[in-house]
Amino acid sequence: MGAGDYRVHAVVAAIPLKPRIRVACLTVLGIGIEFARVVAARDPALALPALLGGGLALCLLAVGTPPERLGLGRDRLPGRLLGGAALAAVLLLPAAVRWHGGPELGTGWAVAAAAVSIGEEVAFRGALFAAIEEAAGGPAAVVGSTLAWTVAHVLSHPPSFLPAVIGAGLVLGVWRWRFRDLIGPILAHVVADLAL
Amino acid sequence: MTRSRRVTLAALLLAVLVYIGAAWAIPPGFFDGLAPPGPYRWTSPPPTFRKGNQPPLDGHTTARVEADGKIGPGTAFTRDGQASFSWSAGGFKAPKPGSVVTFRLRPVRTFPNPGPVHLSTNVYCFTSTTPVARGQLILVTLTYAAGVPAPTAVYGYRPGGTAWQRIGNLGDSAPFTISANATSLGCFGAGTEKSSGASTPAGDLPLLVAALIVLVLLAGLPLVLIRLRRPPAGAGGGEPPASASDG
Repeated sequence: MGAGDYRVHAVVAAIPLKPRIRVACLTVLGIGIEFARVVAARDPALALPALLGGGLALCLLAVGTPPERLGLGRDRLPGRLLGGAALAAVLLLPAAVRWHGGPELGTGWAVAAAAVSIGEEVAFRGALFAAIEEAAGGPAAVVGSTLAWTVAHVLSHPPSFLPAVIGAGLVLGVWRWRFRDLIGPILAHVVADLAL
Repeated sequence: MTRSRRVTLAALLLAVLVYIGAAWAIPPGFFDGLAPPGPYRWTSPPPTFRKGNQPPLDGHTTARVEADGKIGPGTAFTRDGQASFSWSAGGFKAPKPGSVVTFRLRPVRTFPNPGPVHLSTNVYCFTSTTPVARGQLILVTLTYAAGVPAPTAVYGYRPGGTAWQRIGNLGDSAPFTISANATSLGCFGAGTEKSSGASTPAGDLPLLVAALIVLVLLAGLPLVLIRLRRPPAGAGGGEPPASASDG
């Protein structure tokens, strides 16, 4: 075997690893950004910047991934928006049945909540989902993105809330897989966070 | 409909059922971006929150009088984080340098009738071994539960007193908290005056969900009908949604 053959063999062998490495990097970075913004937000003076910065940082994880692979294509827009409305109704239904009122968000907090919602969808069900799907297929992407999203909520949510986070992750993840759409999950996530 | 489509739709339905079951177990439901700090610990929980309620915790902290004769800035919390008060340097009258001042926070079960005020939080009594310095303000912050109407102000009374008075609302607190500046320590709770006419958002969420359902049904039906009239095309797990493919 000549030196040229060895080089070619090494490059080819590395190709199947690339998606897995991307999955690992996106998982660590996504969870790390979420943990960092939660820890930073424990200082009341940093709470708002942490939410806005965290949302932006999560969105940056999708840089380099084509919009279509993220589920952000412009086709089927009416259906995607309608899907978002349906998903929002599902997410809000348990709270709506027992609702007695909730916090009133100022504009700054509402923008920050929307930023985090969009960032989480773009990072976990956008970039990470696409990477896992490429490496291991759609069902693995649903489960993997849901697990990563749930772990990312460990610091911000009490343990009793995590099953609902898993459930919401599965709903939004299966929608993303089934319809190759991220606009619906983004819309639903933003509406749910602002409404609650 | 192909087998893969049926499988993914069944998975979506199953996921919805799993979610609704899990969200039902945590009143009032799913929270994400601005999550509440945890289940609120009530001294006397409303009916919705009785199941699994834990009693609220008290708290205390100490501060040493510094060499310059002042007590440095600080914050005292309850151990569950539901109530706190903060002070700036010189906020309390300082005993002799080197002595220790103790601050305590205690949830109370019995308190004077708040009259026209509907309280949304526990009532906490804050004490210290030295009084607030003249002209200084103490920042009182109270957390309230997810699923109750947001209180409009912090109210308080002096220990041993019977009259509640409105302390205020700084209006820039983090979600699920309300803050106000007080001129002295005492007992505090957050609530809303029944006669203030302040609207509570209690009816907003059910209306929003109802509107979303109507929107999906009214707008989705024509899209489904158009889809059904089309000749069937090759379909797979990643095909557009029935309602979306005609958009």
